[in-house]
Amino acid sequence: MASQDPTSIAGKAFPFRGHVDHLVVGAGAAGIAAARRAAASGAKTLLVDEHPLDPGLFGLDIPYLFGARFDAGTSNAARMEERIVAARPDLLAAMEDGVEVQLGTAAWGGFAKAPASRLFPTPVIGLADRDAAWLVGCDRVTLALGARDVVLPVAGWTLPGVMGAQGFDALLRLYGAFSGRRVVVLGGGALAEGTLAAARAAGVTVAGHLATPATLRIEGREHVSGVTWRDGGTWHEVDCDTVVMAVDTVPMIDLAELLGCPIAWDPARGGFVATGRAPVDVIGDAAGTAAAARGAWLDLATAEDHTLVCACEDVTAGDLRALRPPRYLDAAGPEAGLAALGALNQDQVKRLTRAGMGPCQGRRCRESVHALLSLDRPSPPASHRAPLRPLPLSVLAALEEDPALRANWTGWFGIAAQWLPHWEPVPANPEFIGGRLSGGDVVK
Amino acid sequence: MIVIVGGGVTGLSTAFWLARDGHPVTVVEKGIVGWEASGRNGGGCTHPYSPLFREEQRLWPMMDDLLGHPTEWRGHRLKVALDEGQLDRMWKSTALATEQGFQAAALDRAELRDLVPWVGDNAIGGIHWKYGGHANPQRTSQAYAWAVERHGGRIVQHTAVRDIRVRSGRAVAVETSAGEIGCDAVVIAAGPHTAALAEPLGHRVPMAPARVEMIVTEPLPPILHGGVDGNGLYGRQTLRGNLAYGGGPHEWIDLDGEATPRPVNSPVVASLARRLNEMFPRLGHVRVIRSWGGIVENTPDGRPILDRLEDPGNVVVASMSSVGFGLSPATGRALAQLVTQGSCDFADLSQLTLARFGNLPLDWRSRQGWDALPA
Repeated sequence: MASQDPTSIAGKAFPFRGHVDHLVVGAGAAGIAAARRAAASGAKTLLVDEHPLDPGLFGLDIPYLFGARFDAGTSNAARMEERIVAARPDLLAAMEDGVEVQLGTAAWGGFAKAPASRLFPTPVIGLADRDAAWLVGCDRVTLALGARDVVLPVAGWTLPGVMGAQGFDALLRLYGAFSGRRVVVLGGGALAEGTLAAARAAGVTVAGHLATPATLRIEGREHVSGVTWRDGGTWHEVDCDTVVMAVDTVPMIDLAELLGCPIAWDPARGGFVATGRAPVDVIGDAAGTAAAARGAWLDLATAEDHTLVCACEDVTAGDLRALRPPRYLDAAGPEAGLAALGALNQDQVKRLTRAGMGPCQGRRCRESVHALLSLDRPSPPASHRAPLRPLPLSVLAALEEDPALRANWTGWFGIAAQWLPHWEPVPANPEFIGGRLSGGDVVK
Repeated sequence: MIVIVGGGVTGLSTAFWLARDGHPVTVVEKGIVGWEASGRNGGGCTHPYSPLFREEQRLWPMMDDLLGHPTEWRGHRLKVALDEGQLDRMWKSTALATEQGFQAAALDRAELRDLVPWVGDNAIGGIHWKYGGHANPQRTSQAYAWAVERHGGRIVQHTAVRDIRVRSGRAVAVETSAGEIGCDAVVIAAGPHTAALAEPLGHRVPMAPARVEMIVTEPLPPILHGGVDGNGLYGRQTLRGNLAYGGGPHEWIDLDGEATPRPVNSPVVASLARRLNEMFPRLGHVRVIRSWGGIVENTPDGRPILDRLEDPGNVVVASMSSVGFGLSPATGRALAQLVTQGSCDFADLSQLTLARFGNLPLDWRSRQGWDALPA
């Protein structure tokens, strides 16, 4: 056999910043408990959590809908770290048990053996703080990723002051950095009850509570100033500076999907859920939340064609139904609209309309788009892609790289004959049929 | 009936040209049209080493009108050089086009920065290719499919081809997971699956599949010519403003059956970010929001196979050897001619026949060092 293709991935090392027996992602109650159990069994255990977040992510509403209701304290990493440790006293107990804890560390990538890649025999997780990305290897990984907010695209939802229940909870209880004063809470289940209780306990005024789906509008010019809703034939109005959408959350399945875990539609557990597959475990809210309660709310919110569904890419419910290309193309969709595609697939609709293609990575519109595409049957899940948190080029660029990767880097395959005129015969090469680009030919 | 096996850009474009000329066509696609490498690539439309280059350049400016839907095609390419070696190699590939009468201009650093404000002091200059261009792969793939239907052709998705039935030296039917389709001619343009589909016909179509990947940033204000390459990267600024770039190491893989495996990403995404940040040092703060992988196939010499077989005589085999998107308007027109008249009258395809691999050793992949990594 000849030498391995030098421009391929074969023979390249991907340096790790350590290898642990057991990596736990997410330091909520479930993640901390799992990490403590692992450490107690003698496993070298690393527990990572993305909080305190890169301050830039609050404004992008990642991972929760923060609605710009965070105070300036969130940009002080040291202070936020203290608050998080204070809010989760079990973290100290985990450290005493021998768990290595890294806060402010986001898991942005998961690389595992798959039919299209044999690069890593055991899972490799991409981690990053504000300055750099790195890789860590592990024998087992437990995903305690928690749940994500569900956005109702009601009129006015993009105004600063519109939050999700998870965003509200994080700012209130984890960061102690909630900057609102009068809230209206939407939602009728345990999630809304918990939100109301947390607000009252923190001395936040609850100005209103809508427990059942209604046609409603969030009022305000530059910020939320109130909510109006219809009850029968009457419109009601209440003043507030914050609206908390506490209808539903969905399991956070992004990293599980990257690691190859099966994903299934199970509305009784919140929507799309991931099932752990050795050596990956999925636990806590990430493995299933309360039964989905958003259907009627989303149907009402998306009934009007002018409803803005994807705020990053400016896509309305009407654009989705018409399968309209983005506005900068100034073109119509196919005459049949969505029906022109046959069986609907959210990723395909994403690429054509751009819904879900923006910097928030679809976090704010996934559920609305899915509901719009699932009138007859549930459409397959929209895919998640690394980096699962938007990372600056400089942060990803800081990942340590094998010098052999640079020495053999080429733009495309490095087959010499591919770049010579195809109307002339392939130059004879005794060893490699198409010849190899190497040395000075390779663009470094 | 002409059956096209494979709903990627090559098959769809072939179907488009055939349907436009009034031929009955059916495209059979195992998944969704344009779903694999056709819809997820760098979108480049600049291939001067191909005999189809002139036709590629002639057709792209017309494709929106021909297809009836926007492809997001835009002309011109800009090359950014960070050292003399890069610049030399860029001029060598430029010569391939200028020798065919296309125009290119040298850019000093200031001129380059006027066109591409993201370059830094580490750029030594560049080249403005006043030819070539880029388009949106997914939108183009879908536009072909809708144009085929508008001209009366059929697109059958979520249907796998299981066999091509031959009688008296001619393909007479294509057996699919949804029944049989009688045919007068067949085009196999199934990407990495082309080999397995041609094998029962007695033809070895040598190809090796590989996984490649790209990254995408958040949108930036659009620049005039978004097709900017350099530093070992290919890519473009999309019309929306995102930077989409690929390059670097590929992973040779094995296929298992008729499915195309999910094209996962690897930590190479960070190496792409590193090189993009080297090329555009002013963009260190710009966030990467997505990445993707794709599965492509390469023939042993990295060149296409565009060939009408002698037996069965009504079967055309097509593989673009990992470089299919940009050439697709021209490739489809050439393949349509191979189907209807047996040869192409506008490009010299004589070097792209299957026969050139007639003496290929059976273990050619291993000899090339193209084996998949150990299981």
